[in-house]
Amino acid sequence: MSTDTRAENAPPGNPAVPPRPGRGLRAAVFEPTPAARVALLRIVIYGFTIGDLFWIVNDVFAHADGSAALYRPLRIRLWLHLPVPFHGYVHVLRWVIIIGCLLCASGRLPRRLGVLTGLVTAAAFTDWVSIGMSYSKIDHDHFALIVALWVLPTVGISRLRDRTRSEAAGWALLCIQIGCVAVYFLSALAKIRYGGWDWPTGSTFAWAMTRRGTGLGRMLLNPPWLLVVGQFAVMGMEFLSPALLFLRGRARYGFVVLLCCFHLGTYLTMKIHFLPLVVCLLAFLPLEQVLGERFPDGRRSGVRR
Amino acid sequence: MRPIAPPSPQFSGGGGSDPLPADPEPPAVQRLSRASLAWRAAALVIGTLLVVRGTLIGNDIDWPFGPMSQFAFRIGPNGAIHSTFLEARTVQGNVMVVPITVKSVGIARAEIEGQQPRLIRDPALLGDLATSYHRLHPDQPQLQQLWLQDRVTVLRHGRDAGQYVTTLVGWPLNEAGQVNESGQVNESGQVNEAGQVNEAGQ
Repeated sequence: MSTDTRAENAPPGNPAVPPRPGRGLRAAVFEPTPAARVALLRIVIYGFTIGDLFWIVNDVFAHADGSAALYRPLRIRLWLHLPVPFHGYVHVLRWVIIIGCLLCASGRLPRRLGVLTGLVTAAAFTDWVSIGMSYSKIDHDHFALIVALWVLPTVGISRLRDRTRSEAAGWALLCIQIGCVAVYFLSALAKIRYGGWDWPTGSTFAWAMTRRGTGLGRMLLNPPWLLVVGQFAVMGMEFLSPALLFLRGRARYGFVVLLCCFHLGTYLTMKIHFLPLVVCLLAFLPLEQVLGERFPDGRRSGVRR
Repeated sequence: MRPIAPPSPQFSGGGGSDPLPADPEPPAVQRLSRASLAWRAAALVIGTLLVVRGTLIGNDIDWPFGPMSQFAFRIGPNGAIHSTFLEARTVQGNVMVVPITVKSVGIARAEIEGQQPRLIRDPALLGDLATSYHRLHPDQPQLQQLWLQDRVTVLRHGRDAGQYVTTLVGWPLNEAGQVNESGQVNESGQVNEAGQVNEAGQ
Protein backbone atom coordinates (compact mmCIF):
# COMPACT_ATOMS: atom_id res chain seq x y z
CA MET A 1 0.00 0.00 0.00
CA SER A 2 0.99 3.59 -0.20
CA THR A 3 3.37 3.95 2.65
CA ASP A 4 5.14 7.01 1.36
CA THR A 5 2.83 9.94 1.15
CA ARG A 6 3.45 13.62 1.25
CA ALA A 7 1.06 16.26 2.37
CA GLU A 8 0.97 19.63 0.74
CA ASN A 9 -1.10 22.58 1.70
CA ALA A 10 -1.79 23.20 -1.93
CA PRO A 11 -5.12 22.98 -3.66
CA PRO A 12 -5.19 21.23 -7.04
CA GLY A 13 -3.95 23.45 -9.79
CA ASN A 14 -1.90 25.65 -7.51
CA PRO A 15 0.20 27.84 -9.81
CA ALA A 16 3.14 27.49 -7.42
CA VAL A 17 3.53 23.89 -8.53
CA PRO A 18 5.39 23.81 -11.82
CA PRO A 19 3.62 21.90 -14.61
CA ARG A 20 5.19 18.58 -15.52
CA PRO A 21 4.48 16.11 -18.30
CA GLY A 22 1.71 13.72 -17.28
CA ARG A 23 0.40 16.13 -14.70
CA GLY A 24 -2.98 16.35 -16.42
CA LEU A 25 -3.29 12.59 -16.43
CA ARG A 26 -2.26 12.44 -12.79
CA ALA A 27 -4.83 15.06 -11.88
CA ALA A 28 -7.52 13.07 -13.68
CA VAL A 29 -6.72 9.62 -12.31
CA PHE A 30 -5.56 10.75 -8.88
CA GLU A 31 -7.73 13.81 -8.44
CA PRO A 32 -7.30 14.92 -4.83
CA THR A 33 -10.68 14.17 -3.32
CA PRO A 34 -12.03 14.77 0.19
CA ALA A 35 -11.11 11.83 2.41
CA ALA A 36 -14.41 12.38 4.26
CA ARG A 37 -16.21 11.28 1.08
CA VAL A 38 -14.51 7.91 1.25
CA ALA A 39 -15.16 7.67 4.98
CA LEU A 40 -18.89 8.10 4.43
CA LEU A 41 -19.05 5.90 1.33
CA ARG A 42 -17.22 3.21 3.25
CA ILE A 43 -19.91 3.12 5.94
CA VAL A 44 -22.62 2.82 3.31
CA ILE A 45 -20.81 0.18 1.23
CA TYR A 46 -19.84 -2.06 4.15
CA GLY A 47 -23.28 -1.71 5.73
CA PHE A 48 -24.88 -2.61 2.42
CA THR A 49 -22.59 -5.62 2.01
CA ILE A 50 -23.84 -7.10 5.27
CA GLY A 51 -27.42 -6.65 4.09
CA ASP A 52 -26.51 -8.20 0.74
CA LEU A 53 -25.69 -11.49 2.49
CA PHE A 54 -29.23 -11.75 3.79
CA TRP A 55 -31.38 -10.16 1.11
CA ILE A 56 -29.59 -10.33 -2.25
CA VAL A 57 -27.04 -13.13 -2.63
CA ASN A 58 -28.95 -15.05 0.03
CA ASP A 59 -29.02 -18.43 -1.72
CA VAL A 60 -25.51 -19.48 -0.70
CA PHE A 61 -26.64 -21.62 2.24
CA ALA A 62 -29.31 -23.25 0.08
CA HIS A 63 -26.66 -24.09 -2.50
CA ALA A 64 -24.24 -25.39 0.10
CA ASP A 65 -26.92 -27.62 1.59
CA GLY A 66 -28.28 -28.73 -1.77
CA SER A 67 -27.00 -31.03 -4.48
CA ALA A 68 -23.29 -30.73 -5.22
CA ALA A 69 -24.07 -32.18 -8.66
CA LEU A 70 -25.62 -28.85 -9.65
CA TYR A 71 -22.42 -26.94 -8.77
CA ARG A 72 -20.81 -25.53 -11.94
CA PRO A 73 -17.82 -23.62 -10.58
CA LEU A 74 -16.58 -20.40 -12.10
CA ARG A 75 -13.03 -20.34 -13.39
CA ILE A 76 -11.89 -18.22 -10.44
CA ARG A 77 -13.04 -20.93 -8.02
CA LEU A 78 -11.18 -23.61 -9.95
CA TRP A 79 -8.00 -21.56 -10.20
CA LEU A 80 -7.98 -20.75 -6.51
CA HIS A 81 -8.96 -24.31 -5.55
CA LEU A 82 -11.95 -23.04 -3.61
CA PRO A 83 -13.99 -25.94 -2.29
CA VAL A 84 -17.40 -27.16 -3.35
CA PRO A 85 -19.49 -25.12 -0.92
CA PHE A 86 -20.64 -26.90 2.21
CA HIS A 87 -22.50 -25.70 5.27
CA GLY A 88 -19.57 -25.10 7.64
CA TYR A 89 -17.57 -23.30 4.95
CA VAL A 90 -20.25 -20.77 4.06
CA HIS A 91 -21.12 -20.33 7.73
CA VAL A 92 -17.55 -19.25 8.53
CA LEU A 93 -17.43 -17.17 5.36
CA ARG A 94 -20.51 -15.22 6.38
CA TRP A 95 -19.11 -14.43 9.81
CA VAL A 96 -15.79 -13.33 8.29
CA ILE A 97 -17.67 -10.93 6.00
CA ILE A 98 -19.90 -9.55 8.76
CA ILE A 99 -17.06 -8.95 11.23
CA GLY A 100 -14.80 -7.58 8.49
CA CYS A 101 -17.50 -5.16 7.32
CA LEU A 102 -18.16 -3.90 10.83
CA LEU A 103 -14.47 -3.33 11.52
CA CYS A 104 -13.88 -1.62 8.17
CA ALA A 105 -16.98 0.57 8.44
CA SER A 106 -15.90 1.77 11.87
CA GLY A 107 -12.67 3.14 10.43
CA ARG A 108 -11.03 2.60 13.80
CA LEU A 109 -8.41 0.06 12.84
CA PRO A 110 -4.74 1.00 12.64
CA ARG A 111 -3.67 1.54 9.04
CA ARG A 112 -1.95 -1.74 8.21
CA LEU A 113 -4.50 -3.83 10.07
CA GLY A 114 -7.26 -1.87 8.36
CA VAL A 115 -5.85 -2.61 4.93
CA LEU A 116 -5.46 -6.29 5.78
CA THR A 117 -9.00 -6.54 7.19
CA GLY A 118 -10.40 -4.78 4.15
CA LEU A 119 -8.67 -7.12 1.73
CA VAL A 120 -9.76 -10.22 3.66
CA THR A 121 -13.33 -8.91 3.64
CA ALA A 122 -13.14 -8.23 -0.10
CA ALA A 123 -11.79 -11.71 -0.78
CA ALA A 124 -14.42 -13.34 1.43
CA PHE A 125 -17.27 -11.46 -0.22
CA THR A 126 -15.92 -12.25 -3.68
CA ASP A 127 -15.87 -15.89 -2.63
CA TRP A 128 -19.44 -15.61 -1.32
CA VAL A 129 -20.84 -14.03 -4.48
CA SER A 130 -18.89 -16.43 -6.70
CA ILE A 131 -20.68 -19.31 -4.95
CA GLY A 132 -23.97 -17.66 -5.79
CA MET A 133 -22.88 -17.47 -9.44
CA SER A 134 -21.60 -21.06 -9.60
CA TYR A 135 -24.92 -22.73 -10.35
CA SER A 136 -25.28 -21.68 -13.98
CA LYS A 137 -26.80 -18.25 -13.50
CA ILE A 138 -24.28 -15.46 -13.67
CA ASP A 139 -25.35 -11.89 -12.88
CA HIS A 140 -23.29 -8.77 -13.23
CA ASP A 141 -25.03 -6.60 -10.67
CA HIS A 142 -22.20 -7.05 -8.16
CA PHE A 143 -19.26 -5.98 -10.30
CA ALA A 144 -18.98 -2.40 -9.04
CA LEU A 145 -19.58 -3.45 -5.43
CA ILE A 146 -16.78 -5.99 -5.59
CA VAL A 147 -14.50 -3.37 -7.12
CA ALA A 148 -15.44 -1.04 -4.27
CA LEU A 149 -14.60 -3.62 -1.61
CA TRP A 150 -11.19 -4.25 -3.15
CA VAL A 151 -10.21 -0.58 -3.59
CA LEU A 152 -11.64 1.06 -0.47
CA PRO A 153 -9.02 -0.46 1.88
CA THR A 154 -6.24 1.13 -0.18
CA VAL A 155 -7.29 4.62 0.92
CA GLY A 156 -6.11 3.95 4.47
CA ILE A 157 -7.43 5.85 7.44
CA SER A 158 -10.02 8.46 6.60
CA ARG A 159 -12.48 9.92 9.00
CA LEU A 160 -15.76 11.73 8.56
CA ARG A 161 -14.20 14.90 9.94
CA ASP A 162 -11.12 14.56 7.81
CA ARG A 163 -10.81 17.65 5.63
CA THR A 164 -7.77 16.67 3.69
CA ARG A 165 -7.99 15.78 0.05
CA SER A 166 -6.20 12.69 -0.95
CA GLU A 167 -4.99 11.24 -4.22
CA ALA A 168 -5.57 7.74 -2.85
CA ALA A 169 -9.24 8.63 -2.26
CA GLY A 170 -9.53 10.04 -5.78
CA TRP A 171 -8.13 6.86 -7.31
CA ALA A 172 -10.41 4.58 -5.27
CA LEU A 173 -13.50 6.58 -6.18
CA LEU A 174 -12.48 6.61 -9.84
CA CYS A 175 -12.15 2.81 -9.77
CA ILE A 176 -15.67 2.47 -8.36
CA GLN A 177 -16.95 4.97 -10.93
CA ILE A 178 -15.31 3.03 -13.76
CA GLY A 179 -16.75 -0.17 -12.29
CA CYS A 180 -20.25 1.34 -12.56
CA VAL A 181 -19.73 2.69 -16.06
CA ALA A 182 -18.27 -0.65 -17.16
CA VAL A 183 -21.48 -2.43 -16.18
CA TYR A 184 -23.65 -0.05 -18.21
CA PHE A 185 -21.43 0.49 -21.22
CA LEU A 186 -20.37 -3.14 -21.55
CA SER A 187 -24.00 -4.21 -21.25
CA ALA A 188 -24.63 -2.23 -24.42
CA LEU A 189 -21.65 -3.86 -26.14
CA ALA A 190 -22.84 -7.31 -25.01
CA LYS A 191 -26.21 -6.60 -26.61
CA ILE A 192 -24.41 -6.02 -29.91
CA ARG A 193 -22.28 -9.13 -29.40
CA TYR A 194 -25.11 -11.51 -28.50
CA GLY A 195 -28.23 -9.84 -29.84
CA GLY A 196 -26.86 -7.98 -32.84
CA TRP A 197 -27.33 -4.40 -33.93
CA ASP A 198 -31.06 -4.98 -34.18
CA TRP A 199 -31.31 -5.90 -30.48
CA PRO A 200 -33.54 -2.89 -29.69
CA THR A 201 -36.16 -3.92 -32.26
CA GLY A 202 -36.59 -7.37 -30.72
CA SER A 203 -38.79 -8.61 -27.91
CA THR A 204 -36.25 -9.08 -25.11
CA PHE A 205 -38.16 -6.85 -22.69
CA ALA A 206 -41.38 -8.67 -23.63
CA TRP A 207 -39.54 -11.88 -22.74
CA ALA A 208 -38.70 -10.43 -19.32
CA MET A 209 -42.20 -9.08 -18.66
CA THR A 210 -43.84 -12.32 -19.78
CA ARG A 211 -41.63 -14.43 -17.55
CA ARG A 212 -41.45 -12.29 -14.45
CA GLY A 213 -43.36 -9.09 -15.02
CA THR A 214 -45.33 -7.50 -12.19
CA GLY A 215 -48.86 -6.27 -12.87
CA LEU A 216 -47.36 -2.99 -14.02
CA GLY A 217 -44.78 -4.77 -16.17
CA ARG A 218 -47.41 -6.85 -17.93
CA MET A 219 -49.41 -3.73 -18.68
CA LEU A 220 -46.48 -2.58 -20.81
CA LEU A 221 -46.70 -5.63 -23.09
CA ASN A 222 -49.36 -4.01 -25.25
CA PRO A 223 -48.88 -2.27 -27.54
CA PRO A 224 -45.51 -3.95 -28.24
CA TRP A 225 -43.85 -0.77 -29.46
CA LEU A 226 -43.83 0.58 -25.90
CA LEU A 227 -41.18 -1.90 -24.84
CA VAL A 228 -39.30 -1.44 -28.13
CA VAL A 229 -39.03 2.27 -27.33
CA GLY A 230 -37.81 1.24 -23.88
CA GLN A 231 -35.13 -0.96 -25.44
CA PHE A 232 -33.85 1.90 -27.61
CA ALA A 233 -33.83 4.20 -24.59
CA VAL A 234 -31.97 1.75 -22.35
CA MET A 235 -29.38 0.92 -24.98
CA GLY A 236 -28.85 4.62 -25.69
CA MET A 237 -28.44 5.35 -22.00
CA GLU A 238 -25.94 2.52 -21.61
CA PHE A 239 -23.88 3.69 -24.57
CA LEU A 240 -23.83 7.24 -23.17
CA SER A 241 -22.82 6.10 -19.68
CA PRO A 242 -19.08 6.89 -20.07
CA ALA A 243 -20.14 10.54 -20.06
CA LEU A 244 -20.61 10.11 -16.32
CA LEU A 245 -16.85 10.10 -15.95
CA PHE A 246 -16.48 13.45 -17.66
CA LEU A 247 -19.59 15.34 -16.63
CA ARG A 248 -19.47 17.45 -13.49
CA GLY A 249 -21.97 19.16 -11.28
CA ARG A 250 -25.67 19.03 -12.10
CA ALA A 251 -25.22 17.19 -15.39
CA ARG A 252 -23.47 14.34 -13.59
CA TYR A 253 -25.96 14.22 -10.73
CA GLY A 254 -28.81 14.34 -13.24
CA PHE A 255 -27.38 11.30 -15.04
CA VAL A 256 -27.10 9.47 -11.72
CA VAL A 257 -30.74 10.27 -10.97
CA LEU A 258 -31.72 9.01 -14.43
CA LEU A 259 -29.94 5.71 -13.77
CA CYS A 260 -31.65 5.39 -10.39
CA CYS A 261 -35.01 5.95 -12.10
CA PHE A 262 -34.11 3.21 -14.59
CA HIS A 263 -33.37 0.77 -11.78
CA LEU A 264 -36.54 1.77 -9.94
CA GLY A 265 -38.42 1.13 -13.17
CA THR A 266 -36.99 -2.37 -13.60
CA TYR A 267 -37.84 -3.08 -9.98
CA LEU A 268 -41.45 -1.93 -10.32
CA THR A 269 -41.97 -3.82 -13.58
CA MET A 270 -40.05 -7.05 -12.94
CA LYS A 271 -38.59 -6.94 -9.44
CA ILE A 272 -35.02 -6.61 -10.65
CA HIS A 273 -33.32 -3.82 -8.72
CA PHE A 274 -29.54 -3.94 -9.27
CA LEU A 275 -29.13 -2.36 -5.82
CA PRO A 276 -25.46 -3.43 -5.46
CA LEU A 277 -24.75 -1.25 -8.48
CA VAL A 278 -27.06 1.58 -7.37
CA VAL A 279 -25.26 1.92 -4.05
CA CYS A 280 -21.95 2.31 -5.91
CA LEU A 281 -23.38 5.22 -7.91
CA LEU A 282 -22.88 7.18 -4.67
CA ALA A 283 -19.22 7.38 -5.70
CA PHE A 284 -20.27 10.05 -8.20
CA LEU A 285 -21.73 12.33 -5.53
CA PRO A 286 -20.06 14.81 -3.14
CA LEU A 287 -21.22 12.81 -0.17
CA GLU A 288 -19.21 14.77 2.37
CA GLN A 289 -21.53 17.73 1.89
CA VAL A 290 -24.21 15.99 3.91
CA LEU A 291 -21.75 16.08 6.80
CA GLY A 292 -21.33 19.84 6.50
CA GLU A 293 -23.28 20.77 9.58
CA ARG A 294 -21.43 18.32 11.77
CA PHE A 295 -18.07 19.99 11.61
CA PRO A 296 -16.97 21.28 14.96
CA ASP A 297 -16.99 24.89 13.91
CA GLY A 298 -20.51 24.50 12.56
CA ARG A 299 -19.58 25.53 9.04
CA ARG A 300 -20.28 23.74 5.83
CA SER A 301 -17.42 21.72 4.45
CA GLY A 302 -18.00 23.49 1.17
CA VAL A 303 -15.85 21.06 -0.75
CA ARG A 304 -16.75 21.13 -4.36
CA ARG A 305 -15.73 19.26 -7.42
CA MET B 1 -1.90 7.84 5.81
CA ARG B 2 -2.28 10.78 8.18
CA PRO B 3 -1.45 14.12 6.68
CA ILE B 4 1.83 15.56 7.86
CA ALA B 5 0.21 18.94 8.14
CA PRO B 6 -3.01 18.61 10.13
CA PRO B 7 -6.02 20.28 8.60
CA SER B 8 -6.61 23.75 9.79
CA PRO B 9 -9.67 24.27 11.96
CA GLN B 10 -10.28 27.54 10.11
CA PHE B 11 -10.90 25.76 6.85
CA SER B 12 -13.95 26.79 4.94
CA GLY B 13 -12.91 25.79 1.43
CA GLY B 14 -15.02 28.34 -0.38
CA GLY B 15 -18.37 27.09 0.88
CA GLY B 16 -21.23 28.72 -1.04
CA SER B 17 -22.97 31.24 1.19
CA ASP B 18 -20.44 31.20 3.96
CA PRO B 19 -20.16 34.78 5.19
CA LEU B 20 -16.86 34.23 7.00
CA PRO B 21 -13.67 35.80 5.72
CA ALA B 22 -11.60 34.16 3.00
CA ASP B 23 -9.98 30.88 3.91
CA PRO B 24 -6.45 31.53 5.12
CA GLU B 25 -5.35 27.93 4.69
CA PRO B 26 -6.71 25.57 2.06
CA PRO B 27 -7.14 21.87 2.89
CA ALA B 28 -4.07 19.71 2.95
CA VAL B 29 -3.55 17.48 -0.06
CA GLN B 30 -2.21 14.06 0.59
CA ARG B 31 -0.03 12.99 -2.31
CA LEU B 32 1.01 9.46 -3.20
CA SER B 33 4.54 8.24 -3.66
CA ARG B 34 5.72 7.24 -7.15
CA ALA B 35 5.47 3.56 -6.29
CA SER B 36 1.93 4.03 -5.01
CA LEU B 37 0.96 5.90 -8.15
CA ALA B 38 2.52 3.21 -10.31
CA TRP B 39 0.81 0.17 -8.87
CA ARG B 40 -2.54 1.92 -8.72
CA ALA B 41 -2.27 3.02 -12.34
CA ALA B 42 -1.27 -0.50 -13.37
CA ALA B 43 -4.14 -2.07 -11.40
CA LEU B 44 -6.64 0.30 -12.99
CA VAL B 45 -5.40 -0.41 -16.51
CA ILE B 46 -5.29 -4.19 -16.00
CA GLY B 47 -8.72 -4.32 -14.35
CA THR B 48 -10.27 -2.21 -17.11
CA LEU B 49 -8.70 -4.34 -19.84
CA LEU B 50 -9.89 -7.54 -18.15
CA VAL B 51 -13.48 -6.41 -17.86
CA VAL B 52 -13.57 -5.08 -21.43
CA ARG B 53 -12.05 -8.32 -22.67
CA GLY B 54 -14.76 -10.22 -20.80
CA THR B 55 -17.55 -8.61 -22.75
CA LEU B 56 -15.75 -8.65 -26.12
CA ILE B 57 -14.54 -12.26 -26.15
CA GLY B 58 -15.01 -13.70 -22.66
CA ASN B 59 -17.34 -16.30 -21.26
CA ASP B 60 -19.71 -16.36 -18.28
CA ILE B 61 -17.35 -18.56 -16.29
CA ASP B 62 -14.76 -15.75 -16.34
CA TRP B 63 -16.83 -13.89 -13.70
CA PRO B 64 -16.18 -11.29 -12.29
CA PHE B 65 -14.54 -10.45 -15.59
CA GLY B 66 -17.16 -12.15 -17.74
CA PRO B 67 -19.45 -10.56 -20.33
CA MET B 68 -22.19 -8.20 -19.13
CA SER B 69 -24.64 -10.44 -20.91
CA GLN B 70 -27.85 -10.24 -18.88
CA PHE B 71 -30.69 -9.40 -21.28
CA ALA B 72 -28.18 -9.18 -24.13
CA PHE B 73 -29.82 -11.92 -26.22
CA ARG B 74 -32.46 -10.99 -28.74
CA ILE B 75 -35.90 -12.51 -29.08
CA GLY B 76 -37.37 -11.79 -32.51
CA PRO B 77 -40.84 -10.21 -32.66
CA ASN B 78 -42.07 -13.52 -34.13
CA GLY B 79 -40.01 -15.64 -31.74
CA ALA B 80 -40.96 -17.66 -28.71
CA ILE B 81 -40.57 -17.06 -24.98
CA HIS B 82 -39.63 -20.13 -22.97
CA SER B 83 -40.39 -20.33 -19.29
CA THR B 84 -39.54 -23.42 -17.31
CA PHE B 85 -41.57 -24.83 -14.47
CA LEU B 86 -41.59 -28.01 -12.45
CA GLU B 87 -44.47 -30.39 -11.94
CA ALA B 88 -44.44 -33.27 -9.55
CA ARG B 89 -46.49 -36.19 -8.37
CA THR B 90 -46.36 -36.68 -4.62
CA VAL B 91 -46.33 -40.05 -2.87
CA GLN B 92 -50.05 -39.45 -2.29
CA GLY B 93 -50.61 -39.27 -6.02
CA ASN B 94 -51.37 -35.55 -6.27
CA VAL B 95 -49.90 -33.70 -9.24
CA MET B 96 -48.81 -30.18 -8.42
CA VAL B 97 -46.65 -27.34 -9.67
CA VAL B 98 -43.51 -26.99 -7.54
CA PRO B 99 -42.05 -23.46 -7.63
CA ILE B 100 -38.44 -23.46 -8.83
CA THR B 101 -37.12 -21.13 -6.17
CA VAL B 102 -34.37 -21.29 -3.60
CA LYS B 103 -36.91 -21.70 -0.79
CA SER B 104 -38.75 -24.45 -2.62
CA VAL B 105 -36.06 -26.68 -4.13
CA GLY B 106 -32.81 -24.91 -3.16
CA ILE B 107 -32.13 -23.49 -6.61
CA ALA B 108 -33.59 -20.71 -8.74
CA ARG B 109 -35.40 -21.05 -12.05
CA ALA B 110 -32.73 -19.25 -14.05
CA GLU B 111 -30.14 -21.68 -12.63
CA ILE B 112 -32.23 -24.68 -13.67
CA GLU B 113 -32.62 -23.13 -17.11
CA GLY B 114 -28.88 -22.61 -17.30
CA GLN B 115 -28.42 -26.34 -16.64
CA GLN B 116 -31.33 -27.48 -18.81
CA PRO B 117 -29.21 -29.40 -21.34
CA ARG B 118 -27.57 -31.26 -18.45
CA LEU B 119 -30.91 -32.08 -16.87
CA ILE B 120 -32.20 -33.45 -20.16
CA ARG B 121 -29.07 -35.59 -20.57
CA ASP B 122 -29.10 -36.69 -16.97
CA PRO B 123 -32.67 -36.66 -15.58
CA ALA B 124 -31.45 -38.14 -12.29
CA LEU B 125 -30.54 -34.55 -11.37
CA LEU B 126 -34.28 -33.95 -11.03
CA GLY B 127 -34.09 -36.52 -8.24
CA ASP B 128 -31.70 -34.18 -6.46
CA LEU B 129 -34.39 -31.49 -6.61
CA ALA B 130 -36.85 -33.91 -5.04
CA THR B 131 -34.32 -34.56 -2.28
CA SER B 132 -33.85 -30.83 -1.69
CA TYR B 133 -37.61 -30.34 -1.60
CA HIS B 134 -37.95 -33.01 1.05
CA ARG B 135 -35.11 -31.49 3.09
CA LEU B 136 -36.71 -28.04 2.93
CA HIS B 137 -40.29 -29.31 3.48
CA PRO B 138 -39.96 -32.26 5.86
CA ASP B 139 -43.64 -32.08 6.80
CA GLN B 140 -44.92 -32.18 3.20
CA PRO B 141 -45.54 -35.33 1.13
CA GLN B 142 -42.40 -36.36 -0.73
CA LEU B 143 -42.14 -35.92 -4.47
CA GLN B 144 -42.11 -39.23 -6.26
CA GLN B 145 -42.02 -38.15 -9.87
CA LEU B 146 -40.95 -34.88 -11.47
CA TRP B 147 -41.32 -33.28 -14.89
CA LEU B 148 -39.47 -30.26 -16.13
CA GLN B 149 -41.99 -28.36 -18.22
CA ASP B 150 -41.58 -25.53 -20.70
CA ARG B 151 -44.33 -22.98 -21.12
CA VAL B 152 -43.83 -21.52 -24.58
CA THR B 153 -45.36 -18.17 -25.42
CA VAL B 154 -45.49 -17.66 -29.17
CA LEU B 155 -45.07 -14.10 -30.39
CA ARG B 156 -46.55 -12.58 -33.55
CA HIS B 157 -45.37 -9.05 -34.28
CA GLY B 158 -44.29 -8.78 -30.66
CA ARG B 159 -47.68 -9.79 -29.26
CA ASP B 160 -48.60 -12.87 -27.28
CA ALA B 161 -50.21 -15.14 -29.87
CA GLY B 162 -50.80 -18.11 -27.62
CA GLN B 163 -49.11 -20.48 -25.21
CA TYR B 164 -48.49 -24.17 -24.97
CA VAL B 165 -46.70 -26.41 -22.52
CA THR B 166 -44.24 -29.09 -23.46
CA THR B 167 -42.37 -31.58 -21.28
CA LEU B 168 -38.60 -31.27 -21.46
CA VAL B 169 -37.70 -34.24 -19.31
CA GLY B 170 -39.16 -36.40 -16.59
CA TRP B 171 -37.79 -38.44 -13.72
CA PRO B 172 -37.81 -41.36 -13.13
CA LEU B 173 -37.43 -41.60 -16.88
CA ASN B 174 -39.04 -44.96 -17.40
CA GLU B 175 -42.32 -43.55 -16.16
CA ALA B 176 -42.02 -40.22 -17.88
CA GLY B 177 -42.10 -41.26 -21.51
CA GLN B 178 -39.65 -42.24 -24.16
CA VAL B 179 -36.62 -40.23 -24.97
CA ASN B 180 -36.30 -39.36 -28.61
CA GLU B 181 -33.05 -39.05 -30.51
CA SER B 182 -32.55 -35.42 -29.68
CA GLY B 183 -32.72 -36.20 -26.00
CA GLN B 184 -36.16 -34.67 -25.55
CA VAL B 185 -39.03 -36.50 -24.03
CA ASN B 186 -41.94 -36.96 -26.40
CA GLU B 187 -45.10 -35.23 -25.45
CA SER B 188 -47.41 -38.08 -24.91
CA GLY B 189 -50.60 -38.41 -22.97
CA GLN B 190 -48.81 -40.68 -20.54
CA VAL B 191 -46.25 -38.12 -19.57
CA ASN B 192 -48.58 -36.33 -17.29
CA GLU B 193 -52.13 -35.18 -17.21
CA ALA B 194 -51.31 -31.54 -16.72
CA GLY B 195 -48.63 -31.43 -19.36
CA GLN B 196 -50.86 -31.47 -22.41
CA VAL B 197 -50.39 -28.94 -25.09
CA ASN B 198 -52.75 -26.03 -24.59
CA GLU B 199 -52.80 -24.27 -27.90
CA ALA B 200 -54.38 -21.01 -26.95
CA GLY B 201 -53.48 -19.33 -30.18
CA GLN B 202 -52.75 -20.15 -33.74
